[in-house]
Amino acid sequence: MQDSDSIWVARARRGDADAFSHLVETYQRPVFNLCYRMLNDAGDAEDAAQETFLRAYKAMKDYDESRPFPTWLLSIAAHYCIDQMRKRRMAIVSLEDLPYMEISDDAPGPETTLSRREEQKRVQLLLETLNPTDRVAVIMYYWYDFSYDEIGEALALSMSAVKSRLHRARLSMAQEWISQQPQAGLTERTRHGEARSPAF
Amino acid sequence: MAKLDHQPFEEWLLSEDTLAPEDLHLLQEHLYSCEDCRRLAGALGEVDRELRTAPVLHPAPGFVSRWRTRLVAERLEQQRRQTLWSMVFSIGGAMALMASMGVLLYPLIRSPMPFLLAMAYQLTSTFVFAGAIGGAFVTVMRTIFKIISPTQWAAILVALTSLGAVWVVAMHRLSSRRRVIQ
Repeated sequence: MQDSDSIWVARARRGDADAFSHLVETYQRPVFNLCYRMLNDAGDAEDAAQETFLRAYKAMKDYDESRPFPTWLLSIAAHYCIDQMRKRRMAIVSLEDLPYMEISDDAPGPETTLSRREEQKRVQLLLETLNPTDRVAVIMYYWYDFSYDEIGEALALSMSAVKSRLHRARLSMAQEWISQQPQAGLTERTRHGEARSPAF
Repeated sequence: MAKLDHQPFEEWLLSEDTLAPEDLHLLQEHLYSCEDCRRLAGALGEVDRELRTAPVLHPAPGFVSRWRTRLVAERLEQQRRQTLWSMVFSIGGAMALMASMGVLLYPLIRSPMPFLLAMAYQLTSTFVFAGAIGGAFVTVMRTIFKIISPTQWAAILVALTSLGAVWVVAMHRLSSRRRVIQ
């Protein structure tokens, strides 16, 4: 957490709604992104992100300042999304209903937009193969660069459980990838293993 | 090839830990000969790339103002709930009080005559008692006035006045701030 954040957090803990609004401004994007990646629907993600901030606001007095604020906030979002997913049992939603994409300074052309949409679909299809807890672990690991410890802290899991879940999730996503593109992953035989893998 | 044959290579591929050089060499040898593991390694690399390059999405503009609106709505809802609960508790309390009173007053409501008679008797007794006390007081005062002469009355009055004056002076001196002499 940045030093300036800690000032806002301290003020928000004293019940200053404006200070908390500043934190909403700062963390809206990571929270929304996590909710979207979990729920795969822009409207649901918006609701979940709003609810996350509301819950955080109510729980600010209980927040332990020794914990990083983003980890604490994202753990609230993660638990809320896991609950939502369990409630709705992941009803199939249209992947055409894509969320608000990242807007770059140079407006993307139609081809770039289409390409991004395709990438989005692929990513969401991969994530959909995972159960809620594995999914949030993957999201925290890949999008937020959380360590195993931080993921464990956010999800109340041991470090070995986090490792095991990520391991299982990566295998599941790789298998999905292979099933989507049967020719994918086939690389030329090379004695020095040019086939790229995170293990290398 | 049986699944077991891919171990520990599959484990190594899925692990994020850095492999020892000799293990890395063994893995490369295995990948050269095993198409399944080569496919898995390629897919893992692709999945990893997809996830790492996927953008962080952001909400529609105005998220913070929507949140503020939601906070206000939540507070209003909370106040409404508190009001509702207060009303429920008040009405419940009033009903409970009425019910308990009803239980207590039921025999009275059912047959009020004995209660009314008892009340009338109580009132009459009170008036009679007060009249008797008043009569006794008047008799005692008449007797005193007959016994004590006007001179004696004057002496008693002077004595009482002196005592009163002494008491006032004493109280005044006791309540005034005392000097402390060092």
